[in-house]
Amino acid sequence: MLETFSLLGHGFAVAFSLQNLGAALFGGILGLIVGAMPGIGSLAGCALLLPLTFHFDPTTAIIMLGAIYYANMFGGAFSAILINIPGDAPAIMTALDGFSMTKKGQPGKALFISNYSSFIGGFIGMVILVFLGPALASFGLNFGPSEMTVLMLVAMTSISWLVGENPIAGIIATCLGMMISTLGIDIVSGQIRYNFGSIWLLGGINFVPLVIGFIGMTQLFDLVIQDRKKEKISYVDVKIKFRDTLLTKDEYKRATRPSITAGLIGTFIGFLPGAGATAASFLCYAVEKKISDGKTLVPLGQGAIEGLAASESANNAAAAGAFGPLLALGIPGSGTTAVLLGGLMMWGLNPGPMLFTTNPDFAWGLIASLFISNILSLAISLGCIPWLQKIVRVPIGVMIPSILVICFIGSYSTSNSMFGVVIMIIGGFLGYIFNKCSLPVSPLLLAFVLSSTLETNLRRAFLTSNGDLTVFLARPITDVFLVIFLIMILVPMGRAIYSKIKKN
Amino acid sequence: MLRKLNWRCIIFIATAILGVIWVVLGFGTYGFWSAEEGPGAGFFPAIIGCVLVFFSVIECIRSFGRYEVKFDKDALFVVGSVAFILILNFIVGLLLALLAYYIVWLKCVEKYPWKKVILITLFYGAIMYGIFSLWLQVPFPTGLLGLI
Repeated sequence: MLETFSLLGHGFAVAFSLQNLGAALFGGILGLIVGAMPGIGSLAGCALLLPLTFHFDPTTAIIMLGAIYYANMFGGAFSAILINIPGDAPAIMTALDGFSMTKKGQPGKALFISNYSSFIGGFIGMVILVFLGPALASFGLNFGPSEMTVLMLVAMTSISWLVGENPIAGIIATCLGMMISTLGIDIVSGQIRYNFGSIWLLGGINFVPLVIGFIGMTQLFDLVIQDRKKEKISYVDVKIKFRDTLLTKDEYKRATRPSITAGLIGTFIGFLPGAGATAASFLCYAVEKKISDGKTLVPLGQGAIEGLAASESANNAAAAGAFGPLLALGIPGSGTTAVLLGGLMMWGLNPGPMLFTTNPDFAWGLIASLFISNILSLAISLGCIPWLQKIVRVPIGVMIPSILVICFIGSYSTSNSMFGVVIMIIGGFLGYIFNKCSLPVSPLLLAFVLSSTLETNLRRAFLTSNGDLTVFLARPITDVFLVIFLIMILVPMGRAIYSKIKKN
Repeated sequence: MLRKLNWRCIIFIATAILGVIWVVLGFGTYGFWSAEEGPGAGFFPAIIGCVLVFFSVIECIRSFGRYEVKFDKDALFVVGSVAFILILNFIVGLLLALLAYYIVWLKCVEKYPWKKVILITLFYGAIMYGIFSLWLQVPFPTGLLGLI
């Protein structure tokens, strides 16, 4: 316990330097603005802002990345509350009560409750992360190559095949991600492979242009189509002043209890690989509906403080909790954390069981920066409330060239070469076609990020066992992971077959 | 028969072909397994290729004649935008090309008045230039203009 506090204290010492605080503040402001813009969301927000972190030293870059990620989670709620367009999937439940409050002339209170509950949920998630993260990592220290291989397979199934109605499409996207990662130099033998004679492919494909293309530019297609169809967004015209945001004692009470409950449940869900912030938000909203049935001033879904608080607290708690499996085992629970993982790996930081022992500065610096980001995001969000209307109402016509410009500059600046831009453009067009053909993109990116760890451990496992396949059955941990892996493949497939039979 | 071939089928045929290439190169060129060194550089890609071919064929058969994928004509605006920036980049460099794109998009597509176009372009242009060129010192390509 004391050691944990001392390591966290060290993390704060790292995070509290002027440069790191400045980076966190800058990342927080940008993350909040981008997250608040309707139609961008936390996934595209993180992808588009990732290149900004390249020119710092690794610790500062990671702190800034943490701030961008966390502020994006805060910002996702604003467009849901003010214009009924959730910035990202976890904010869907926020829109139910948040927008109802706006329609009733209480947008200021809704925004304040959203920030207040996000802060509480995030804080609970981070406290639990401080204690469970290292425990999970020390459990992971027992893992050899065979365990790591099966763990990586579980990680890939965690978001790959659970998303979407078609598990096979998820498997195909996963394979494509793994194939892209094999381009360039083989990390085990140093042999050049799959470069097809091109010197550009020798170093493989850079993650950032790929993610900017597949996420940022694909988003651009949707925005352009929406813009050309002249789809109007219905605004509720209200002016927000600071004094309108202040809560009464009773309102604080009504927001605090659901925030704490949802914070605890949300963190637990965040720790489960694959569940993520969206599942946490939906589940906690349902739990809150059960708990407060008949006890709220207005029913949930019609502007109830309790519903708004539960949804916001849950998704931020899950976002913090997701750092547990991400840092300790290298398993991202969502598309956004997969982007974050890719960003971390770009600085040679390999999340996994060894992280807390070999890179305590990074691990604890990042955790400490999450606490700081939580406070900064709260402060920035509260300070921005009167101007949020303007941020979420940036016309799509202005957002389109801005996003494309960021896509170009971001993908160029990662390698200072137009090859990055080419990758981004190819990724963008492929992403659009994938979207049209109902092929999920997140599994491809997750597989791309995890593939090198999977390949290295798979080959090591076979090398140490002289090619004996039973190496994956010899230890109880691998058996457990294999069972989870099989369940994760078979359940969605069974579900798809069952629904098809039912339809027929 | 060809009428039933939709975009989804074409995608899965393409992924199956990619899978075959990965398998062939994995087994043939890069080495699948050696008695002394165990799994070679082609080991993992060949396995992935096999899985990809298997599932692509299944999905292609499943999609045959069942899905109708329609692409929106408005997506061409993005294609045009990308082409405009890339061509102009060779002449005036990336930053000026992006600024010109802002102006063309806001004026010709969005039909904003000139005053608004210039104000928005200057505002966003200054932010981009300040952050990436001045602060992060990204050496942007200057195109043919840079050679003068």
